[in-house]
Amino acid sequence: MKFGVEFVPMNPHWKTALLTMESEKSGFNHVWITDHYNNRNVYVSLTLAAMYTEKIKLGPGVTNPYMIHPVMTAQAVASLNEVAPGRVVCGIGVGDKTTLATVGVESQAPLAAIRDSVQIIRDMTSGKASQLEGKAFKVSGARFFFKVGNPIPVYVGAQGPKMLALAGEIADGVLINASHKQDIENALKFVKEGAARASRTVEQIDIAVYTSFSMADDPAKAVKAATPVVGYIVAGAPGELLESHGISTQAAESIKNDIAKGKWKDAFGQVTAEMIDAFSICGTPDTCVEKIEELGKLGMTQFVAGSPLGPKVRGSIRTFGERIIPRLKQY
Amino acid sequence: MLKYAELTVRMEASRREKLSDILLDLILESGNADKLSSGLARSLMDSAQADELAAENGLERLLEASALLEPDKAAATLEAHGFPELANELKKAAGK
Repeated sequence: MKFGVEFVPMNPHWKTALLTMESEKSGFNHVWITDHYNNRNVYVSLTLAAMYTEKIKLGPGVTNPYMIHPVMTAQAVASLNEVAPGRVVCGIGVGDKTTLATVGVESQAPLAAIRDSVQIIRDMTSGKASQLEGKAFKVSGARFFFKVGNPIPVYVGAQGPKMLALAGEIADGVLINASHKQDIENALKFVKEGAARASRTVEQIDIAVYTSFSMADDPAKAVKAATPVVGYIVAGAPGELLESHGISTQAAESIKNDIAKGKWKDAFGQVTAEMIDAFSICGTPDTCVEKIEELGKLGMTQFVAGSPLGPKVRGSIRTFGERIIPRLKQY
Repeated sequence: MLKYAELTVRMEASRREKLSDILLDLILESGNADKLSSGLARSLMDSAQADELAAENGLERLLEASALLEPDKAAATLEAHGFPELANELKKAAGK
């Protein structure tokens, strides 16, 4: 099993770089940095993180093809690969609808957009001229005037059945956006279906589970840190997913309304223990080990600890390195 | 900065490690991160990369950054963790 960690560049670049160094020292294999226009630029954060590390793999987790044309994403990761040869990965997904809406961008034809993007990024970073009459993107001989030293693995961020299957069909890795065993088990069925469609096996795909993670020796502190993140997840979750965890859509709607009004205390006060359990890996190091181990048994090959990590981010990274990675490396 | 150096240079290695940990946590958890100059940020990253945050220079930079980002909290934290002389220096630097 490999271990990844997510950082959100709402923090200055130096913080992300220091936390990336800490993650490398603690034994993490991957750093994924989110890409939203309203945070710091993902590639500036990644470049700095790359310059201050030696082994850890890094990449956007995830960028989207609506704000950034795939040729530009290809250019960015190929350029980053010059700073950190062989350490760059590229995560791409449909992005966050709410953020895209603030700039009038709609995530249209998501499956076609991701399929076309993966091909364009892969072609260009393999040194080929990309020629594609896709449903979402058309490129005519798009290529670089510089060499890319090595292929860059492309991961697809996915949650719904069709996107999961597409990831299984075309991606080097899938970033499954879920935290609960039941959801991962379901997701894997679709990834396997997609892989079979392309005569691939699931073993050819890095199955990365991109969780909301919160760890502390005091479980109450872990829950407190996870609560706002889980509140946002619940507010944006599809009804079917909520119901499969016994969470009412009315409860989610109420949280969503309070978030929209900026009534944070009311919104997050409605986050229940069931919601925390359904949408995060949360608790003491021992509890987290048990939950991650369960995911490993299902076939996960990379565990990604996503926000918030815990009440103290650096402390959680160190604890993860000392008390989790050594116990789970064998998977 | 000279005073910080005088106070940290006499410390045992284990105390320096502890101090470095406390200060690094403090600046990473600070909500005033934007106050840090790019030059000081780079010095901190250089020290971290060289694994020298607990060395004399690294500690100086961490103290400087803490005094900028969290002057009150830094002094209180240092006092609580048994570094009263450094806490006093931070207070003096903050004019308190």
